[in-house]
Amino acid sequence: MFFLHNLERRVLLHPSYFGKNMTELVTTKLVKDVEGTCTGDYYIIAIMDTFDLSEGRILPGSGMAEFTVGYRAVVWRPFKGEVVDAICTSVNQHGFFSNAGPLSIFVSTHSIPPDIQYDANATPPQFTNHSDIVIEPGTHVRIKIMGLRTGVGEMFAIGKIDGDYLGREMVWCRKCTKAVGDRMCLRTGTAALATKKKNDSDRHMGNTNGVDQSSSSIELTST
Amino acid sequence: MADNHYGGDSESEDDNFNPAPADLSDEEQDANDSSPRVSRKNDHRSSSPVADGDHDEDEDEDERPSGRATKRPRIAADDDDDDDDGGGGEDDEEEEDDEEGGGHRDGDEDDEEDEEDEEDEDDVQHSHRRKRRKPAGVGNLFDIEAEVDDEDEDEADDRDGEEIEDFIDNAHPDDIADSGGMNDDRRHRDLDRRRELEASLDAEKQAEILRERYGKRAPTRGYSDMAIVPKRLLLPSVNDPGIWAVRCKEGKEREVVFSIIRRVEERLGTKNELPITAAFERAGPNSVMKGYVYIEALRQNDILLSLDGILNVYPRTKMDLVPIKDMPDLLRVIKTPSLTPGAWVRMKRPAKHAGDLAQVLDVTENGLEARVRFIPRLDYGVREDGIGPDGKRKRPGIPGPRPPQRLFSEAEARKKNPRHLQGNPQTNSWTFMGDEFENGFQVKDIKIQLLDVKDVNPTLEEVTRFAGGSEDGTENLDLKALAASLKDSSSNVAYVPGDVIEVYEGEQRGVVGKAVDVRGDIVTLRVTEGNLSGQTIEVPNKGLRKLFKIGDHVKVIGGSRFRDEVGMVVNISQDRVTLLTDQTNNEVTVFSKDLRAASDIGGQGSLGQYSLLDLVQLDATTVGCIVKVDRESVGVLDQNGEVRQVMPSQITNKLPKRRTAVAADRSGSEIRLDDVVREYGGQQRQGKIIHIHRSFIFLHTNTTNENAGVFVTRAGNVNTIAAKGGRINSGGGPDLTAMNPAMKRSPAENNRMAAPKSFGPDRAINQTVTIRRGGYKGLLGIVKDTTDTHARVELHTKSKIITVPKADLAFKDKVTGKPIDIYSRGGRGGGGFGGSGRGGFGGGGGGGRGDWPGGRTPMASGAGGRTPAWGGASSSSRTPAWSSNASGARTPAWQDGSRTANPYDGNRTAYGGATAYGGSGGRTPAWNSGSKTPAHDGFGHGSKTPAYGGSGSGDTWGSKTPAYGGGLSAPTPAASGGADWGYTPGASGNSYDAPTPGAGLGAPTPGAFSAPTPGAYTAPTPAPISAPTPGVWAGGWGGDTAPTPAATAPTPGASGSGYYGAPTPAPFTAETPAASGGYDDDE
Repeated sequence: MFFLHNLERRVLLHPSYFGKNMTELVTTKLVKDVEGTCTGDYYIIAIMDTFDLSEGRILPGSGMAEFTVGYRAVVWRPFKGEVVDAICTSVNQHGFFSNAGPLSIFVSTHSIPPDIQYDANATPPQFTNHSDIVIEPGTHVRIKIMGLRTGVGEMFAIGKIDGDYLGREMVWCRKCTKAVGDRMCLRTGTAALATKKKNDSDRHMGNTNGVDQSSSSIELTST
Repeated sequence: MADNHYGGDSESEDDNFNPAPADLSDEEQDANDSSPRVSRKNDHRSSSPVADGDHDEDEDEDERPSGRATKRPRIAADDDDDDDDGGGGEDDEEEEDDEEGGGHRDGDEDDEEDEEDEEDEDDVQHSHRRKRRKPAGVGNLFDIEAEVDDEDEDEADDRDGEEIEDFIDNAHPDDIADSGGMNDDRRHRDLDRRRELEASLDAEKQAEILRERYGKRAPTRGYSDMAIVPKRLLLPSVNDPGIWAVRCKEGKEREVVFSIIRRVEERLGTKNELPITAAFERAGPNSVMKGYVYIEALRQNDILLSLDGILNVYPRTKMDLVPIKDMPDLLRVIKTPSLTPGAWVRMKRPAKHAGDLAQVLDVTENGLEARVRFIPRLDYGVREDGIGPDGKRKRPGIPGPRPPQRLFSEAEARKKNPRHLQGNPQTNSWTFMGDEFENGFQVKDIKIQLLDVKDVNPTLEEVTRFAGGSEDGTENLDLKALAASLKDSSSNVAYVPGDVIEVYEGEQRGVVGKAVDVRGDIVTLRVTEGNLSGQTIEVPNKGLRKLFKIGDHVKVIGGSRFRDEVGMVVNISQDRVTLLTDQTNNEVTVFSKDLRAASDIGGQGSLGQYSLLDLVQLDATTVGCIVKVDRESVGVLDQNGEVRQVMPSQITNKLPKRRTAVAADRSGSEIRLDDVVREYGGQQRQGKIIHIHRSFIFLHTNTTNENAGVFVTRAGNVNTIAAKGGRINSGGGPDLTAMNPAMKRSPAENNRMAAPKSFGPDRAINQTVTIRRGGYKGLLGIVKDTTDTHARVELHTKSKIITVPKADLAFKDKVTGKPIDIYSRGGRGGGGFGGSGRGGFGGGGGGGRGDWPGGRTPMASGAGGRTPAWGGASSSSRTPAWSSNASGARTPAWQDGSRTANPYDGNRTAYGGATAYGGSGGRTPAWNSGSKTPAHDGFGHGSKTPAYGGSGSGDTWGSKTPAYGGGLSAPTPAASGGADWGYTPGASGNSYDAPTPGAGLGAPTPGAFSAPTPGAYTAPTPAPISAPTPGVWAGGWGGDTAPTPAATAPTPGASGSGYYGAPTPAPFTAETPAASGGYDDDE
């Protein structure tokens, strides 16, 4: 979940930069230091602005100036139970890894609908139900986070895709309005895909079996 | 009560074994209150001899509270007579017998009360039997009612004292009918007597009696109404018979018990019926209680009596009273472990294999033997005959050095002892010297007693030997069987406060809570779910298991080969939990009992000081990255891509992560830690750099689990995908934690100047010096040789060479004796300049320059000579070397210097230029542009003069000024131009913040003036060099920044080239980029 979070950080500035544009430098440094990092609990996505830049205090010994900067940042904190969209990065027989932004999520075979099986013979290896659902590196999946592990500078999660509205994220072809893979519509040959998620079709995403899916596409074509 | 037992015992012993029954009477009173007896004794024991002990006991009883208070009054009365008889024998007995006999007769007819009175006199069993006796006398129906009465029996005594009506009411109609005439007289008498007695007792005793009676009664009565009596309330008390452990022959326990049973049956109903209440044994192959039979009786004497003459039991040697608290344990039912095929056991015999792990293949139907397989310990008949070296037949099972465990080898057997080998190669089953072997394992039927089936705890090593054949030893493992053998060892289930626990068995089944306290077997739970939520309950840890949820972060603790793995739960089925390990992202399945909740903070595995992904030195030439951490060893991926399993002791040391390590990728771009790169060619693996070691880089990827996702490749074999912080693209601005590079420029200059000095011979050599301090202070000498810090000085005064710190030397002009500063001059590349520039100048304006010329001229000669040499060297090999090694900025300087120097200007200027340029605000861009070529130009251009100007004006620059300072006296000539340039530095001074310095280029103009000048004067050698410089420079600047300077610049360039042709610049341009590249790296 994204939050706008007020944070504070101490920034050190080398004495050789003391001068007129010091505040600017401090801000620059803050952005450079902080943006894109993981504090353990959340990721700092972007810094909106800074406020409350304290006076610099020279640290004895090093001569660096320490500024305390308050800033407002967009942070992302994944929660247990949160549903996120992710992109599969690798597949092995135990499950698959996927990335939701900076967060790496593992989905175990235990948490994959039983009809979606690991297919080691495909290249690259994939999870598939031998019908319309294929999960391979690059596939968009919708995952529910089941557990989180936090470490220094990184987080890791395990998730599941056996649940309502979870699993393979479908994309719809603009032209034929059919659910297709996320690359290209084979029917029309168009790559112009829209990720329109209609409410009625949403329920077909994820752990749908082949029959369901085909019926949904029929629906869509008929409409 | 135990005390009393002992009291009784000792007494009875003193009495030289008075007939046991008498002793029993002591217990009798206890028995009154005790739970019903199991053993049934003959009813009519009234005739049995009553020993003096009885009376003694009674006496005792007066002093202590007892359940027998009811009868006390009367006894007390009786005792008056009897007590004194103490150890009285038959006489007393008979006397009592008579009395009892009468009483008994009455009792038969009388109501219970009377009966009881008599029985009190009688022995315990008797009183107990009373319950049965009544039914026997009256019939079945009566039995039930009698039971009820029974309950109130003791009480009745009291009640009748207090509420007679009640008592009468209580009398059963049957009783009344039975008693026929209703012996009122007697009863009244009785009552009177009792009242009298009671009255005679003091209040305290009375209270005690009452308390005894009712205090105990209340709960007892309650139980009868309850369907279930809590177990702990059924535990034996002091009032119950004691249990004695009697030594017997080991292995004969059961026989002894059977003999006792036989004897009990034989004597049942006879006069000398056995006075014991129970006998049992708890022997078993593993039991600590073997060698004992346990007899329950009221007195030790009874046991001696009962066991007299029974074989194999030795009541007289040793007999221990079992403490009451141990009694329940004694009778605890231990489930005999059941063996299932596949389970692990340890062998106790044959001795050769004692302690060896074996696997159960099959269990015979009678459950006595198991067929197990184990790894044989064969010596293939080396000691085949069992004949020792001394020719004597050895005793079998002698604990000699036993052969190591090795799988059976047919070839070896055939070689050593072919006669004893039979078998079938197809099935790989053999018989060798009477033993069977299958697939290398020995197979044998072994009695289950000879196997340890509990707490086997097979280690991974052992198990893997059995699982031999599969790669990692995991495939063939039957987790279930392993589980079974591990499960038996319940001892290693440890709950700690904080564990979330589920009760899956027993009354509290289904309750989930958090352990708040663990004491022994009892776990206190705070219930977190359901109706009981919030309550704290205590449960035995038997029916508990730890509860985990998917996504929990857990750690594997003891009992499993995955011990210490940490991971997240991905699946749970019953008590088996599958988790995804943090370290390797593998899934492992373990029992929930082996898990413990871990904090959500991930930690990498570590073994001692080595943890996962560390870079370690294996030997002098090999390093590796730890990719696996086991309990005792670590897996290391070495630089050649091989994985080795090493012990921590084999690791030389751990290489600290060098954050600053830099390597060049295939295209020459720098790569650092945490950059993402992709292999060029090969598998095109992509990963994040975790270590850089020389030309090898260790990468980590999430796409594979192999080697924890680590692989190694050469730095030159990768392409950068994404550099951290986008270094490649933008440079990201200056590093604000380090020295401002713009500032650095100037101080760095000093360093830069210092560097050339170290090339070529030290300028100090052959200089005339005076020694400034120390014992030789003031002496004059000539420097013969130098190191970085010291100089060897040949003294003029005496022919001696001494070593003096360079700092203690003052250089003197050889001729004039004036102090000179060779370093400050030389530091600036002065050597070069000295040679040419000075030479040139020397002729022209030397005199005009004050002190300079003087010093310089001589120098010039030396330097001049050197210059070409340098130039030659530098142009080819040295210069590049420089540029790559040192900061690029220096290179050009060097070149200038070396190249020549009219350059003296140029040289210095170069710095000036560099500075200006370095300072040119955005610096980075300037930088980049510089890196292309202009860098060079910067120098070149600067060199022209602006350098001069820069230096002249350098005051504003602070740091630069001094650098120049040395040389600067010289610039005076340039000073004329200096006025113009004066402004330039100002500009450059600003440059830190703003690009303005670019503008600093005003400098070129002067350049135009000055550069040519020396060129014109000097020898051709320097000239060519100086000429190109500007040319190049011009180009660079033109491209880079303000056109204006470019415009001006060309002029000199033009002139230069005009004179000396193009070729020279070419090398320049070629070199410079390299130089700049290096410089960039440095940054």
